[in-house]
This record gives sequence, structure tokens and C-alpha cells, in this order.
Amino acid sequence: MTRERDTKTPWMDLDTSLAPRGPERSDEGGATPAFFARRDFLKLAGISATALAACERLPVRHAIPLLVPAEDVTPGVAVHYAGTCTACPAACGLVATVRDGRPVKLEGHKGHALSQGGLCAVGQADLRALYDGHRLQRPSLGGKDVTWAELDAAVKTKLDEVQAAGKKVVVLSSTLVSPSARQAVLSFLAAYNGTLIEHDPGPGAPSALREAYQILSGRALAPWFDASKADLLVSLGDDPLGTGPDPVAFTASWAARRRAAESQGAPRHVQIEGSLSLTGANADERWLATSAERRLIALSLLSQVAHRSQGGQAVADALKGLAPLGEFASRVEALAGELLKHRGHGLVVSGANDLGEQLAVALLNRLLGNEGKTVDLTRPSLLRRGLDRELAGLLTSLASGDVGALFVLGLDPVEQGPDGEALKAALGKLPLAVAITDRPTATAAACRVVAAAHHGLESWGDFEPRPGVLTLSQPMTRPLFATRSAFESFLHWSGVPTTDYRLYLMERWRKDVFPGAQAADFGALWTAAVASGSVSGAVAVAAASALPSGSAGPVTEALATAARATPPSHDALEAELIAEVALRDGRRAHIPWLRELPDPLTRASWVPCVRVAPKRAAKLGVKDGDLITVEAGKASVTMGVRIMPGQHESVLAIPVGYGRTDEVKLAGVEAPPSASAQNAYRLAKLEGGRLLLSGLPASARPSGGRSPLPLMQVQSETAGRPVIHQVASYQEKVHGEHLPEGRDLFGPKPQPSPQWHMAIDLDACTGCSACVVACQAENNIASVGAEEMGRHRDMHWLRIDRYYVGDADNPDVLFEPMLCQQCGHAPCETVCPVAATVHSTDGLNQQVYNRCVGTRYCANNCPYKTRRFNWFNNEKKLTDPVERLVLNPDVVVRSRGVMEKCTFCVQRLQASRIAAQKEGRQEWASVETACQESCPARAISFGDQNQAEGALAAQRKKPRAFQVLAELGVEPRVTYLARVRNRQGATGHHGEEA
Amino acid sequence: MSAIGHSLSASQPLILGDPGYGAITHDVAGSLEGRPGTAWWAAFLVAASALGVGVVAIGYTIAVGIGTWGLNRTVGWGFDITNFVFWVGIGHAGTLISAILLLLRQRWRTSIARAAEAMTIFAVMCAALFPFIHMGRPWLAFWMGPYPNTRGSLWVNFRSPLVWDVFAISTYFTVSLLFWYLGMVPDFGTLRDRTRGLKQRIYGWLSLGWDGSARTWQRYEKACLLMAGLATPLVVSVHTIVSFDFATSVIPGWHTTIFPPYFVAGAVFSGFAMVITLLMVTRKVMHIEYLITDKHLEQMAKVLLTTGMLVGFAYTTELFTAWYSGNMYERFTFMNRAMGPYAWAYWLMFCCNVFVPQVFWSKRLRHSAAVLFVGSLLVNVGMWFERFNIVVTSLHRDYLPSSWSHYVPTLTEVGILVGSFGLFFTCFLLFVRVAPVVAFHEVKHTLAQQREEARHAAA
Repeated sequence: MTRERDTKTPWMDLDTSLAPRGPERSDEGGATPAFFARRDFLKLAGISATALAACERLPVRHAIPLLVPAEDVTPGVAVHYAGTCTACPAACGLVATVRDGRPVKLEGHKGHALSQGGLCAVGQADLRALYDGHRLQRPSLGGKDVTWAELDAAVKTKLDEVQAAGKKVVVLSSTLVSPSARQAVLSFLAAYNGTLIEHDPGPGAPSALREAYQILSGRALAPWFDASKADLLVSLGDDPLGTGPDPVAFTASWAARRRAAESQGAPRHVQIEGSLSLTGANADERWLATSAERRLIALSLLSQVAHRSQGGQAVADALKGLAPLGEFASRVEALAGELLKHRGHGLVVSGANDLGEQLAVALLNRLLGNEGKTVDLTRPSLLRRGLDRELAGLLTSLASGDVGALFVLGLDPVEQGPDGEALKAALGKLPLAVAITDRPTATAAACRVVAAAHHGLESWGDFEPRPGVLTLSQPMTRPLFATRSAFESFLHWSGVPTTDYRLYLMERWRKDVFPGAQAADFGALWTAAVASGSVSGAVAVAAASALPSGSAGPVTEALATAARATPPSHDALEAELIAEVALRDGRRAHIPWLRELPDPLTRASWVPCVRVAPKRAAKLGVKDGDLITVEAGKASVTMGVRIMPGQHESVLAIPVGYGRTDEVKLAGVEAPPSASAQNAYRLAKLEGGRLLLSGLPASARPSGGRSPLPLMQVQSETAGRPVIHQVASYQEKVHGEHLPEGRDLFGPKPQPSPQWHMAIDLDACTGCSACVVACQAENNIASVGAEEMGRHRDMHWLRIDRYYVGDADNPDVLFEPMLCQQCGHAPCETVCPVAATVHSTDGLNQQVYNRCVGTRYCANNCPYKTRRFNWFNNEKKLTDPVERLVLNPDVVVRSRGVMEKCTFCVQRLQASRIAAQKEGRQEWASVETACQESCPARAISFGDQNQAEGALAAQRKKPRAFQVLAELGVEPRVTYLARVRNRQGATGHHGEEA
Repeated sequence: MSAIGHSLSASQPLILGDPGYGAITHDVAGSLEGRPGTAWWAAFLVAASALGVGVVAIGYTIAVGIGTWGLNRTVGWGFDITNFVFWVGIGHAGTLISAILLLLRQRWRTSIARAAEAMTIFAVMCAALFPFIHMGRPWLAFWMGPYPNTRGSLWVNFRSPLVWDVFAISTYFTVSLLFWYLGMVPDFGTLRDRTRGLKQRIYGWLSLGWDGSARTWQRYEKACLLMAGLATPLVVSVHTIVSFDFATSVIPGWHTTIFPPYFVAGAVFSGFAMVITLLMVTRKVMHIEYLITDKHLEQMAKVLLTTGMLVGFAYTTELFTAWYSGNMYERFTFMNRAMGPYAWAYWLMFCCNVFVPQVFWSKRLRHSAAVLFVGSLLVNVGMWFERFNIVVTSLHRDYLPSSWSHYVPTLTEVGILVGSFGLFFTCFLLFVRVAPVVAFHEVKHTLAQQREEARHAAA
């Protein structure tokens, strides 16, 4: 129950975790009693923290002293509960640290089959979304607050009317990854003969991918890509590492392959894209190509591979009329050769919503024998299921008036689509328009009925991101407001007997997941599943049948059509809608942690920017921050310019997710000046049943005026300084500058264990920035707003420096997480006049906040500039008592005038030390820092540098190890491992080595 | 300094004409007795308004936070420490003139020493303001002092140059203040005798019962010499220690062994420039050109020329060292100073501090009031920018290019700078109303010597 979790982790090991928990274990007579006890204590424990928020409207019913204290709650001691992240449909494993009934930190679940312990920036920030003061707090009808009973009655009446009128009932939702939720919605729809339409806005895993497999394999599915087995990864405009449907799981597998490079050989990653993506930044080789060129490259690769593969003749014949490749010809030929060489160990992916390209990529994987190895069709990805044509159909029938009732679940289609105004008008005219959401979105404003939904951390749920991976989530806190689980609402409206979603969930699990279990067994199984957050692999999965190989006819026909498509014009300007790591599709764009997170590539925060290639910017006559209007079709957006090397000259990349109308209600922090002119979804084009986000013919003109970008990094080049390194192979030594040992004037210092040390593998680090938000959440780091960020007053203790190396038009991108290096000879320590920063015996550079008088001398004297000053009383900006609940009680909240910095999560180190001393263990065995814990790539190792064995020691011994500015003699306690760019068999241009 | 002494010839009198002892007393002390003139009131109004601006700006800073300044995560010091070093530098001339020149028996110092000392006191007061207000939590400034406390006992960090600053500046201020006061005791005695009522009581109290007896004079002169001996090392130590704020750090552009002599030379340079500026105005307003003669100004112009060249030598040595070190960070810092975004400040500094004083090679220009006045102002502008260059351009682009930034001061900071000038001039203007701006007992001594020399020459 203590902070550290090296002991038998309660949520992972059934036997040990449940043994000491009396009520849960002993109640074997029925399925539920154990759970009621458990729920009760959560409710009771939640009161202390949530009564503040709740007492305003809800009578506090349980505010009595606990006669019998709940067994696993000790006031002030953290409890960890397993769950599933609901910030996006990826459904990563989650462990919530709950203090006195309120979650204070979210972490990845190490036992999760897919996410494997990582949790991305958005997932980390979901905690902040729970305590968002602008959440919807109660249901409303036509703008008036009502009770749930009134709302249910109104909905049911309207539903009956709609049914009587013979109109359609539709539920529009993002992909329902939860099988129970899906069943609840489908059974509701069955009652009214309605349809479910799933749609996920934003780029990544597009509709065409599933359509391609529908043609090829008979089922509209998205295969599961396993990068851990891919020696050669070729990605065409796809960004699975940064903004794909499951970035954590993909990053975990991608990094696993890179970490195995020493034994399995260096992997290769070729990225072909028009706009620099996080995935592209991590590629060994990057080609710049427009969307049309990418399609042509995909088809040409297929043609060349088909020629040289058995059974590929039909395909090769269909592609006879392909346009010439031009400048790509030799590179494509070489890449085709590489792919053939890596038969069965390669992986080709594409992010295009283009049937021809997706078909080509699917066939490439099939012909190369990657299916069944890196491409899994038997246990596909269930994260994206919608087809754009269904959405198009819905919009058509909305316009024609066929739809009588529309339930919008979680989405905000008014803002996240091309023609929001029309949809808004249609929603207003509908007999029944219901928004089920936790935010006052534009869609909620357009709907008469607003069913205020729970946050994911307040609700029950189950998730199946992939067949065979079934996880659960339990409420981590008592609901803060008078909200209701979205699916409970559907249960109420469908008139089933069980309206309690938890019971409904259990009922389904009893039937479907543990079908053979007796009632008594089920209780134990269920309890174990909740405790561990998932069911073990023993659970039978309906094995997907072998897929039929696509009949030649439609496939070759589609290919031939694609091959005949207009050849790419190189110079025409095209707009590409991209997602950013922090905002993704924009559904969490109101979370200050995410808005403040500098994009790892542009290094801009809060404010959206159009990414423009340097040459194009020169042609347009614009500089960073100049406003530019991009027109595509009838729509246009106006944003500041960010000049990005690595951008195709003809491609303007525009991030989606900004410009929401409810953006002004940014929790606690002043919002940047924004306008609907920044909503890039407006540029999307619904064409031929597909929602096109890239390759949009566009024009751009400077619109005059400036929107200064809050850029965290203005200098992108290393200026020849040896502060970051990349090497050509895993064996190559970094020639950094090192000081010989024993230069200390006062002789060697005693180094009692532990001496904390961190190693960061830049080869695994993708720059995804999960660690930055994890650090912010763990350490109560303030969000300061766009204006302050623009003044370079970011408060992040951990930042990700991004450097460009080589070719100015297509540079290599290097990420370097930079945090306090806990110098052995810390320059900050000697200069502080009041001894507010001192060294600890375990090698930490400590900052004593309440001793600091704020001379800022330490920050000036820090060669790494990792110290952060409280320019204002940032903490006072958190005025809403609900929002203050997010603060981690283990970490001091700093007042103004005080310096702060990374402490290697000293609160965790201390907690682990206390626990270890009690148990007579070595404390360095288990402790993890917040950044390390969140890292999906497991790029961070941490521990005692005196230990000769272990992960940390192994990392430090590698030839790629170097330390930043070690030549200053400051003895940094962070070791970096150089990034490897595998140019072997390189087919095209490549930049200079750093 | 002795070179300057040699250049003094008896044919150039330090006091023009022979006004007589009574006239000197009348002119200096008399100005304290009447009502202030329009010029004084006008000047006081401007100075007090500037001080008011500063009070508002400082109040705003303390109420809201350092965030009201233009600093950021990379540039932690800007106008605050620039002003601090600037004012400490100004505070150098007074004690140099009164202590070192006294020990070197430079008689020309007598006419200007008092005003220069007063300037020192006020400049150090202005300087001392900045370490306080630049703190994030100035209400805890007393933690900077080593005093027994109930926190453990928790002491200051004796390794920190900021703590050394506290000692150096407080010592310098104390000694300068005592020296200044000691020098005024005989003059207060005179004032006591000339005034009536409350004024007389105050001056009587301040004169410590001065009786003008030979024994008193003898003890007084001995005490002055002792104080001068005590103050002399402080002239060098203060700015040496201020330079340690930078020299002991690891930041390229700061971590420089040349800093102590470079800072002291610069301090004398700027201090003398400020003395010239002040005295040129004072002698005009008080009509005491016969006491503070062109010759005094010329001597000071020569000091400017000398120290200006010292400073110029330091600048070029820095550039050479940066190149010769082969250290890329060091080289970059100086390239960046000369060619980066703050190059204008660097070249402004270079022109004002190195090129402008070269005009003082010409005797004609040394005697030109306009050239001298403008030159002394430009030197102070240049010296302010020298400190700006050291503080800001070294910080804004240090080791990791990722954290490079830029610094633009806010109105609040400009207000505080204006306020510090307001404080300085307000104090100085009040000073000229309550204390003799020229040490007339010393001037009369000089006059006596001058008469003696004249008699010898005639004989």
C-alpha cells in the first residue's frame, strides 16, 4: 500500500494481493458483496477530497466517521488501482495512484499486453481532465439543468415519437473499444431499429486502410502492426509513433526492436512523407514526397516487388501503366530490393486515406510474407472501425431529414468536421439530438439534450483493443459531479432491467468472458480481473478464422484505377492536416498541461502554427509567427507560420484540434487568443465517401499581422557543439569530451550507495513527450499560459530539446530530454547565498524551496539551464477547488520568487528508502522516476551508479554513452546514449553525421 | 596617479585668484543658509519625480513578482544586476579621490573630494537597492546575513560570491560613510558657528563639539589619514568582489580571470566620469568655479583617458583570450557579443569607453566644458552598457543552444533604473542643501599653501 511497488504488486498478482484483503477474499457466497464493500470505501474515502466540490449541489450522505475503517485505505497513504486509460480509444493499461479517495497520478500498467507500462502525454494529462472545472456538471435539457429522471423521460418520449414517425435513430460515436459498451449501445439501437456509426476524427489509421482489407480479405479491419519484429519499417506518411491510433503500443514495439539491435542487428526505418512527423523524425532515412508522389511510390514499390515475387504477376500486370517515378526511381528500386531482402521481417504502413495506396501497402505486406509476422490479421486492431462512407451517409440522411434522433457520444462533430455549420443547423432541427459528453462542446451546445457523462476515471468499463486483450477499468473516485456513465444512459433509454452499468458489465462478463464459471468462481475471477485490470491470456478468445485471400478481380481493378490516377504534380501546393503529439484529434485541447506541452517538432506551445518549408516561406515572404491564410476548397484557416526544415516545399501542414469554440474555458489558465479561424478540420474534404485530410489542393497567402509563437526553442542547430551525438552503428564510440578521473582538488568524496544516476537512450527516445507531462503531473508543475511561454518562462523541469543536423531541407532530427543533471560538482550549489540548493549523500542536487530567496544566481550558473523560477504566484491561478485536487500531496507547491527544478522525484526516492529500510531491502532495486515510468519506449534507466550490474550499468557501459558538457567538470549524473542512424543500404540522400 | 601629481605645476593655481578665507566660507556655507533657488527646485522636482517613478516600479515588482520584468528561464539577471554593478562602479571615485589621493598627497583633490564622497555614498545606496529588489522574495533578504538564528542554526553559504558581496558592500558603505562624515566635522563646526536656533543645534551635534584647537586639528588629521589607510584597500576590494559574482561562475563570458582588475579600472573610469558630470553642474549652479577650476576637471579628464585605455586594454585582452583559448563556447560568446543580437550594445560600449576618451589627449578639448560634459556622460552610458553586455549577452546564449533566448526589459525595469537615478540625484540635491559641498576647511588649507608657494615664488 505504500508508494513503491516492487513488493507483490497488488493489482498484478492475484494470490498475494488478495490474501490480506479480508472482505474481498472471504465473500465467496455471491458475486457482488465483496464489491459493494469496496465501492463503499471508495465512496467514503472520496468524500474527504470531493465533498468540497460536491457539497454545493449534492447532499453529502456519508460524511460520518468511519466506524470500521476501510482496510486498504490509510489516510495519507497512496493506494494504487489498476484501470484502463480512456483519454483516447487506444485503451492503454493504467495504474492510478489514489490518495484519500482522489487519484493524483496516472501511470502505465506494466502488465498490459500492448502498452507494456508506458502512458502517453495525453493519457497522463487525463487526470487534469478529471479535475477540469469546466466539465459539464449535470444533465440539461434545452440549456436548463434537469434531473436525470426528467432527462430520461424526455428522451424516451422523443424516442417513441421518432419511432412512430418512422425516422432513423443513429448513434454517432468514436470507435467503441469497449465490448460491453458496444453491446449496451447496440441493444439500445436494436430496440429502436437504429444504427451505430463509428468515426474517429483526425489523421491516423484512415478509413481506406479498412476498405483495402475489405477488398483484399473480405473484412473491413485494420491489421495489428508489430514493429518489434520489423527489421525494416517503411512508413508512407504515417505517424504511428506520434499520433497513430495506439502510439504507446507502437512505440513500445518499435523501441523493443531498436533495443534488441545489439543482438539482432540494426533495424532500418524509412519514412516517406511530406510533413515532418514524430515518426519521420525518428527514421533512419527520410524522403520528402507529396501525397500523390507517395501513392505513386507505393504502387511502384508494389510493382517492383510483385515482379520479383511468386504469385505477383496479376498485380504487376495491373500496374503496367504506372507513371514514371522521376527523381525517386533509383531510390524506389533500392528500397524494393531492401524490402525483398527483408521478406517476412519488414513492415510497410501508410497513413493515406487513399484506397489505391492502402491496397498497394497491404499487397506489399502480403507479397513480402509479412502477414502473420509483422502484420497480424487474425488478431487485428479494434481501435478504429468506422468507415468514412457511413459518416457520409449519415450526413446525407441528416440533410434529407431521414434521421429523427441522433445521439452523439463523446465526439464533437460540429467542430471536428468539414462543415460544422450545416451539421449544427441539422442538429438544431432534429426532433431529438442528444450529446453525451463531459465538456460543453459546440456539439453539446447544438443539441437540446445534454447527458453530462462521467470522466473515464469515474466510471466502470471494459476494453478490447485487440482480440485477446481484455481490460477493465474501475472508478478511481466518487463522481465529482451529478454526471452519469455514458453507457448507463443508454441502458436507461433502452429500457433494459439492469440500468446499473457496473452490474450490466458484470453480467456480460459472466456470460461472455467467463462463460463456464460457476457463480462462486465468477466472484473470485471478477475480483481478480478488477484488481489486475485485465484478464490473463487464459481467457478464450474467439479465434478469428483464416482470412480468404482477395479475389483477383476487384483487387487488380482497384489497383489499375489507382495506377491510372493523375500523375503527381510536384509544384502544386497542398495542405495536409496533421495531428500533434499533445493535442491529437483535439478532444483534450482544453487541458492546460497539453496546451503548454511544446510540440517536440515545432517546439511551439498553446498556439497552432502552419508548418512551412524554408523555401516555401521564402517564396511567400513569411517568417516564423507571420499570419498566413491557407485556403483549401471553400474553407480557410489563418494561423502563424512555423518554418520547418524537413517539410516538403509543396506541403503545408496544419494541425487539427485547435480553434474549438469552448477553448476559452481553458482550465485555470488564460487561453491563447484563438478564433474559429484556427479550426483546421474545416479544410477536410468529404469526397467519394472518404474524409480526405491530406493532399488537399490549397493556396496560401500572408494575411498580414503576426501571431507570435510561444517557441520554447529558437535555436535548432547545435552550432557545432558536442552536446548531442548520433552514430552510424550500435558499436560506434562517441567521441565526446571527457575529463580524466581524479581531478578533484579535495580528493575523492565518499560515495555511499545509492548514488542516483539516470541513463537516457536517445536511440529509443522518440520525443513523444509523455515524460514531460508525467513530470508535470507528479511534481505539481504550474501551467503558465501562452503569454508566459512566449516569454520563455516555461516551468517544465524536463524538456525535450530538438536539434537538426545535416541537410537544411531534410535534416536529421535529434531529441534530447534535458533535465537537471544532478551534477556532482554542481555550479548552482556554490553560488546560492543562502544555501538553498545543497548536495545530498545520495548524489542529488537538492532544492530547498522554503529557504530560497530567489536571487536566480543558480539558474544563471546552470550550464544546462534546467532550473525554473516562479516569476509569479502560479499556484494562485488554480482557484477552482476542483482543479486544486489535481495537486500531488507528496510534492510541495512552490510560491512565487522561488527556484525549482528536477529532483529525480525525490519524494519517490524517499518513500522507497523508508519502505526499503523497514523491510531490509536495497532501495535502488525498485524505485522509478515519473518520467521513466511513463516512457513508452523504456528509454530511461535509473538507479544506483555504484551497482556494477543491472540495466543502468549496462547502459552506461555501452560505447554510445556520453555525457553532456562533462568537460566542464560538473560531473553530471545523467548519461545519454547516442542515437543510431542506420544508413546501411541507404537508398537516398542522407545528412551529415553529427 | 603620481604621474598626474607631477604634471601639476605651481604656476597653475588650484584656486583661482585669491578669494580670501572668508569668501570661501561665505560662498560654500552661505549657500546652505539662504533659500534654494529656482534651479535647485527645478532639479529637485525632476529628481524627486524620477524617484517617485522608481518607488512605484519597485512597489509593483514586490507586490506582483519578478515576472513584471523581462527576464526569462535563460536570462535570470538583466537590468537589475546591470544597474547594481553600474552604481557600485560609480561609487568608486569618491573614496578613491578622498583616500588614495589623500595618501598620495594630491592637493587638487581638496576641492572635489567632498562632492565625490557624497556621490559615493549615494551611488552605493542605489547599488545596494538592487540586490534586495532583484530577489524573488525580498522580504527574506535578511537571510543573506550571517546571524544566529533558530533554524538550526542555519548559516549563509560562505562559498557564494553574493555573500561576499554583502560583506564587501556593507563594509565599503560603512567606511565610506564614516570617512565622509569625519571629513565634514570641521565644516559642521563652522556651520554651527554661523547658524542659529535648531540648525545650530543640529550642526552642533553633528560637529561633535568641534573646538578648532590645535590638538583637535592634529588628532583630526591623524584620524583622517588612518581612515584613508583603511578605505584604500576597500576601493580595490569592492569591485574585485563584485567581479567575482561573474568570474567564479561557469558561464562563458563570465568565467574570466581578468575581471577583478578590469572591473576596478572600469569602476574608477565610470566614477570619475560621474564626478565630472556632477561637479560641472554644481560649480556652475553654486558659482564656485574658482574653487573647482578647469584644472581640476582637466586632472579628472586625464584619469578618464588613463582608465579608459585600461578598460580598452581589458576588452581586447578578453577578445584575444577567447580566441587563444580555443574554447568554442568562449569564442562564441565573444563573437556573439560583437556580432550577435546585442552587437549594438557592444559597439556602443566600445565607442563610448574606448574611443570617446581619446579626445582627452588634446589639452584644448580637456578644457572645453562642452566636450568634457558630453564626454563624461558618454562614458557613463558606455559603462552602463559594459555591465549590460557582461550580464545579458553572456547569459542569453550560453552552453546549450536549445535554451538560447533573448532579453527585452519591461517598462517596470526602465522605471526602476530611472528611479535609481532619481534616488541618486534627490540625495545629492538634498546633500548640497544641508552639508558643505566643498570641504572648505581643506580648501582653505590648500589656499594657505598656495599663498605660501606664491610668496616663495615672488621671493
